[in-house]
Amino acid sequence: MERTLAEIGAGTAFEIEGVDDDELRAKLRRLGFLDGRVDCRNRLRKGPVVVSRHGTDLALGADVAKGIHITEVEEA
Amino acid sequence: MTGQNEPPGDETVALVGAPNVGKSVVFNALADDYVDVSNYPGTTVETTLAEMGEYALTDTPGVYGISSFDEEERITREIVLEVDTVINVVDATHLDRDLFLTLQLLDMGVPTVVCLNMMDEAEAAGLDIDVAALEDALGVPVIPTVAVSGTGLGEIPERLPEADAPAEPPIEEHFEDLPADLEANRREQTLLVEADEATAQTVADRSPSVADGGTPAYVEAGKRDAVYGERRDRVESIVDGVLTVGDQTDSWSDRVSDLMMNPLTGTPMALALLGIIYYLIGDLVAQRLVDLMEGVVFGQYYNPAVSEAVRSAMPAAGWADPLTFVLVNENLGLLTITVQYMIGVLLPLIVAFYLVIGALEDSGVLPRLAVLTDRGLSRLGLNGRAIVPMIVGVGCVTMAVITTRMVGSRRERLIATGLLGLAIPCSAQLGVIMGLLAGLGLVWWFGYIGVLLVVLGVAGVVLDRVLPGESEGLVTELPRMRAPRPSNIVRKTLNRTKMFFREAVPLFGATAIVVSLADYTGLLEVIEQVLEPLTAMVGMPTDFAQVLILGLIRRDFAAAGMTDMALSAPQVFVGLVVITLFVPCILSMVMIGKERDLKSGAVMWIGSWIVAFTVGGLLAVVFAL
Repeated sequence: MERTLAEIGAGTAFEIEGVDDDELRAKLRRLGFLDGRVDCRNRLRKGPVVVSRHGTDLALGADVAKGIHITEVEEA
Repeated sequence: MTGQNEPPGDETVALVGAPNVGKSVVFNALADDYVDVSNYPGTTVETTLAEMGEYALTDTPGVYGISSFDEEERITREIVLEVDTVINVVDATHLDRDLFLTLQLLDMGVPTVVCLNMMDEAEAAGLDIDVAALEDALGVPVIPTVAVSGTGLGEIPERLPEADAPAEPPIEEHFEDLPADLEANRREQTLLVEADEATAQTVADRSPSVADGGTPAYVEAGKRDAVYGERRDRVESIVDGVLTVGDQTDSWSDRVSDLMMNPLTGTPMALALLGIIYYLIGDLVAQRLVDLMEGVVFGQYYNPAVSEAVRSAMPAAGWADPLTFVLVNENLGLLTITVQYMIGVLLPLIVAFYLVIGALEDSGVLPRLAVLTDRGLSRLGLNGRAIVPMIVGVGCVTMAVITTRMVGSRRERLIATGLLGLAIPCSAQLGVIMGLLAGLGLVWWFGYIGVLLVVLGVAGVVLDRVLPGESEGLVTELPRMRAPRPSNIVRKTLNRTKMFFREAVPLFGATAIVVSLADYTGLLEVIEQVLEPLTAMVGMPTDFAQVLILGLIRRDFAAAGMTDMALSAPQVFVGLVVITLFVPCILSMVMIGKERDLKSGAVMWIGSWIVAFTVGGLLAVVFAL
């Protein structure tokens, strides 16, 4: 089921399906966050989400997270 | 290249890499002599030039790719488009992240040598990299290094002549989508198919056939996604072939990082950190050391000696009076009080501030604080990165204005600077205010804090709604937390302090001359008379005007000026609120003019008058003054 990054909690594994903002999509693609599984490392209530892939941690503000569409993936 | 004081090397070399990969340490080790540390022309981003044997070496701001998404990327892009050779510093613990930039440089045809840094940390993290295989895959020299210990760095100059790039890049097929008659080299072609607007504009400007009317789009929408996607596929393929991941467990830095970003544990940690910073900058330096410098070094020795020397050296003729006054008057004499401000006040504050900021930068704490405070600051039109100037502002607003550079867009810098100038009391002023409020009782202290927080919140919301555009959301990488490296911090502090004074000395000197001339001609006295109706409006005696004039020069002078006045408790409270919200000190105003622009500075200055007397007037009505 597709959701936005703002709707998931810490510990969730997911893949990014789409990013509304072109520039942010380019930045995430460069860092490899559109290549596969990403983990939600921290989530502050109504605040930023910290996501992690291959050791790179990225903090995204709550409004930014609302524009990132994801699907959850099964734990390995 | 910056074009400023370029060293005599024939060939130019740039250090390029992501933030926090050790570029500064590599630069420091490779540089023979520093030639210039300066802001990149037209920006507030620092670049450093140095000699490295026969080469001219420049560093670049940390970036994850060559594009024009922000000021740092635009500068790095300009340098990379011109430079002869690049030393690409790659973090061995983030191979998957950093090889995108490496492959982009190679696609652009930039002769490159890869410095594979932090090999010790990669090993400790259970990462095994086959360096020979990586060198084969990239087709350029790859030198494993541990920059902090100097391991492998000596090999970089030796292998620099081997710097190379593939003759036919894998993205070459995309170049065919560009107009056949386009005057663009391979570096530009690469950026054009990646839809880089700044490069498109540069190419259009030198192509007379391109019609006016905005930046031309040389490729169809979505081409950048395709190019980036193909490059990421190559990165994944290379990483799969050269990297073996062993057993991994959470390190101490991961655990501290998680604790810092959990509000339950992170908030007390942040408060403790703020307390330490306040003690170091606000108390130890701004109060004790600065008091010693001002009271003893300058008050008892330097100023009397210089004043005496100037007065005895100047002729007794009337024409010399104004000159003598400008040089040694007690308000802002060019050779006395101005020097005292620069050396006795600013120098210790700046060095302390840069040391603390350097330590915070090096440790990776700042981005975690940004995460923790993002939600609250977003209500004021800011994002979490604005927490740094707010922290520093309680130490010194002048210094804090500089740190607004890291906040984000111009809009957010304006909001942060406006809030700093309006409602953040500096430590010197706060010291006097705390003394005055202590005599009134705790309830007045909480009232004072409450009024400032309300003003801060209302001003932030108003600025957020009034200023055009939208605030940027928080998007920031969280570098690994690590113990700060003293040598790195000291080097940064020395460079930044040197650059600050080179720019600030002429500005402060000019300000001192203007204020002194106004004082000599009686203009300051006229200002005092003009202010008298305003003092009545906030329920204060007429001699409060003298306090305001002192406040125009320095905020703590204004607070100190109230200590000798016979005032009731509500008058002390209202007076302190007014002088806190009143205009920033001269040093802060100079810095606001320099960092933002004169128009913004003037609006903030006038706005401070309006807010200070509106709030003061309302409080005067409440207290029936």
